[in-house]
Amino acid sequence: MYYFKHLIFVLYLYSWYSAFADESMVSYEIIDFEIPKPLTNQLGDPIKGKIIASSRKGNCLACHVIPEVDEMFHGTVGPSLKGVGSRYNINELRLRLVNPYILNPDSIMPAFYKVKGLEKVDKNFYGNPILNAQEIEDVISWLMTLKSE
Amino acid sequence: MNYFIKLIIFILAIFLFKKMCFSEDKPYSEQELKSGSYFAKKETREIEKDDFANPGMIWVERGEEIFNLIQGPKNISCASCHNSSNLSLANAATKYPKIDKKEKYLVNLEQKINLCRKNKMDVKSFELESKPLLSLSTYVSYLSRGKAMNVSIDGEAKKYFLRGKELYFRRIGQMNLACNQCHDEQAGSFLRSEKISQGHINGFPAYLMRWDNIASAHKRFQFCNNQARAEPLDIGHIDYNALQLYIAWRGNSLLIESPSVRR
Ligand code: HEC
Ligand code: HEC
Repeated sequence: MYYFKHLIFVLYLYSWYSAFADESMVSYEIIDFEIPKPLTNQLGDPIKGKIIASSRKGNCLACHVIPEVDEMFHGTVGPSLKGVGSRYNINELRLRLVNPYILNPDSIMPAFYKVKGLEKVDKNFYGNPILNAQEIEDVISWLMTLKSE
Repeated sequence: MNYFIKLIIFILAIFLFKKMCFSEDKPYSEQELKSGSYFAKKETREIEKDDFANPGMIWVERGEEIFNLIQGPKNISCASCHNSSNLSLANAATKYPKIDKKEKYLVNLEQKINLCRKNKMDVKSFELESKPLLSLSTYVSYLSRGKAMNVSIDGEAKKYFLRGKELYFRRIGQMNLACNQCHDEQAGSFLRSEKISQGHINGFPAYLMRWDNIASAHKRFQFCNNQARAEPLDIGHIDYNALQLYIAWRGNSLLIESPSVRR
């Protein structure tokens, strides 16, 4: 566990570096475990965000219970997203979707906006992030509406 | 220059990662080991237990027919050799994948069947994952039903074992997932509607309801690779054999259930 902090730091550097190194991807900066600037100029659309999160595209339901989504089966691999918009601000959520490995290098949650440093990617998906920049903004804007009473 | 910085950071990361990794070997102790059917739905389990309802039994029956079919220039069947007690197949399936003494590499049960056909019977190999081959391997596995898995990782097998272990823990695909992240860390959790099992292969070849077909262990690996959006290997690939050996070993002592039934 002693090396844990070092590893986070190194990965942090690396992801920061590679975020800048890749032309086709929007570059971003991580400050204090947040990504303070939106990835796009267009404001996120929470209605689209809900569709992306609930469909095969974002596939958040594979791992998370989301009470606001009226579907039969919700996964239990990750924590419930109930009230997640009260627990985090939008900049923290952006980091959690873009690159959760900064917070937990062993996370099973995929980085939804990452193309570098992945091995053996299926050629149908190679070079593309799971969600594009606008889709990230849409999903997190929806997550912000998930408030605890 | 860019490249250089990247390289250094990368090497540093790998180095630290290695330091962090624990050296514990088997993820589950013998008491903790649970076959996939433990995690399956009750209805599915009941179909598996009932030989009349279990669709996998069709493959067993077909396999038995082929096993006894006299063919080729030598006019022999599998049974011609294996009915004698010194070549009995009563425990065969518990030991595969295994180093083939003559070929000197790791072969799984399907490949061993093909080697027998080629070398002993002078007949053509079956295509991997084909119906006749899977029927035979299901039948042969069925002969060991209820016996404990007992693969060896000693001697020549060791290097395949280590390779398999490496593959098991390697994160791959757009989803960047390794086998252990689901089957060691999340067994019992739901991935959408599916309860994740410990990922054992004592039930393989298994009948998968979603495909209405029998699947080999390698087919299942491909399927899990697909879910991680990783490039799957070909069925029969030596790396899949290595992975199969690692997975069989970590499930050693589980009883063979083939043909098991899964969703
Ligand atoms: C393969 C599993 C998986 C998928 C798919 C997944 N997550 Fe997660 N998520 C997790 C896990 C596990 C955690 C717990 C923290 C960790 O281990 O990184 C988590 C944590 C989170 C958190 C922080 C929650 C908290 O209370 O701390 C948010 C927000 C989140 N996920 C949102 C999403 C969204 C939105 C999607 C889809 C676009 C998604 N996740 C898809 C597994 C997943
Ligand atoms: C994202 C999660 C996930 C990952 C990663 C994953 N699997 Fe699976 N695996 C599943 C699910 C879900 C099932 C179906 C339910 C079950 O039986 O576990 C399954 C089933 C299996 C089974 C069949 C178990 C049985 O009893 O029927 C085997 C064997 C298996 N996986 C091996 C692997 C291997 C090898 C890898 C890595 C190459 C891998 N899995 C990666 C989720 C995953």
